[in-house]
Amino acid sequence: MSALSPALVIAGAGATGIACALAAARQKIPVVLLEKSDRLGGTVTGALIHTLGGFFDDRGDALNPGLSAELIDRLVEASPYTCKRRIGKTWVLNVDPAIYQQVISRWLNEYPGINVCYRTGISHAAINAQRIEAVTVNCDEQSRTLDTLAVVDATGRADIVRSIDSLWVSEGSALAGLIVQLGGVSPGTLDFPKGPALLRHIRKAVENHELPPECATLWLDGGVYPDEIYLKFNLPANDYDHARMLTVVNRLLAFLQVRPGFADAFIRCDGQLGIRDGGRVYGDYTLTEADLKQGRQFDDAVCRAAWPIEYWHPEHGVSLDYFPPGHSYQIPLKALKVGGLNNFFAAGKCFSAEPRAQASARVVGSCWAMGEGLINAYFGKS
Amino acid sequence: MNLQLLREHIINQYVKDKAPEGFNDDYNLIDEGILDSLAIMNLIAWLEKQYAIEFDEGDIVLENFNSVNALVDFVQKKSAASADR
Repeated sequence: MSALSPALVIAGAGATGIACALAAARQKIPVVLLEKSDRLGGTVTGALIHTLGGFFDDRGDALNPGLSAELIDRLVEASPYTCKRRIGKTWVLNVDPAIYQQVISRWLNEYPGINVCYRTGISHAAINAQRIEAVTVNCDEQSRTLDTLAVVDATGRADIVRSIDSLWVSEGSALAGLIVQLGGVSPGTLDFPKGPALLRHIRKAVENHELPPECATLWLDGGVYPDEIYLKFNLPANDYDHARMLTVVNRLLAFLQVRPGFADAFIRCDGQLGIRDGGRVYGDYTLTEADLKQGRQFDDAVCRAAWPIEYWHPEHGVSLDYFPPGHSYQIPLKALKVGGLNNFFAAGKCFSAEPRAQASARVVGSCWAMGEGLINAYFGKS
Repeated sequence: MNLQLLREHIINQYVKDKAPEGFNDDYNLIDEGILDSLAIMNLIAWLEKQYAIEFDEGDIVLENFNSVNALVDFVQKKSAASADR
């Protein structure tokens, strides 16, 4: 942490934070990127997201130019298994989360002006004249103060905003997701519509108490590699117990191993619980579901988005509300501004939006575009 | 049995604004992306409730889902088989 001159301080090295850092570095703005874990990539790498949504519209065309488009090129170049894939009415980028992590790590390393600090968080913000003038950061039980050009809370849970004033955050209740990679599965095991048929078999087994209730909202998806599938559990985030869930996963694996295609299946990797809505800030403006459905345009738009409203209701499970063909909406800068401060922003999953608006705008492609758009808007690049 | 209800349900729930050119009862719902895995799971739940039928695992095959007509035929056959039991 060597930055002595005022820097853009970004908390959270997920999609939003990395996009902010890269966009700023390209404008020669010094960046300090703080990450509380010891890993880059946020939810994609922590929770093992392999179907990256929000980069394409319903025709499969890129929604936003710039870093988003460059990221896709880099991911495709890094692995022959990275590919654009249609899921129902949407398009996603299918990519191994480990490849994603390698790509963003190399990309950040191209910019000496980006100072990445792991296991680090902000403990205090000094506010004066409607600006955050400095922040105190903690790392390895040491603290130091950094002068700030601006501060971006890209933690996904509004951790920095909360530390200043918890009343600036609205709590989320959407179900979270636990993803487990299975290897050793016969290729084609989930070929449509074998997937829904297997899911139905699993749900019947839950009803008959042959499988634990956590399997009732399970989803299955083909993986990146031919022998791979992803198990996706959808669970409340409160009272989550990872050790207990691993026993559930092992029971499910034993259940699957007697099914066609699963005889040699094994757990390749289990993710951390992926939080879809860890709280949203109250910004200068709150993006609404009506804004999305009307395809509202804003004078201070930072990016475009078009992912359907994929809301994970805590009791009723997922619903997908699709927009009409060719539809998109914009995310304005004022929905990223927090607390009436002139240089403080919350971007990515925790930006200011109604729960169902966030349920569309939270996906990784939107987060990349939001991060880049925020920096370009604030620091004046058109 | 009100099969018109089935046609309307598929159009209202899954086709909606998409209204592709040339949509008819033989239009391929799978290849055209109208029914994905989630839609099929939801549709099965609706059909079972609405028509008092139960899907066996072997019923979840492309042939039964790839058009409105295929679904109508399947529900008719399934209902008849249920009534015979």
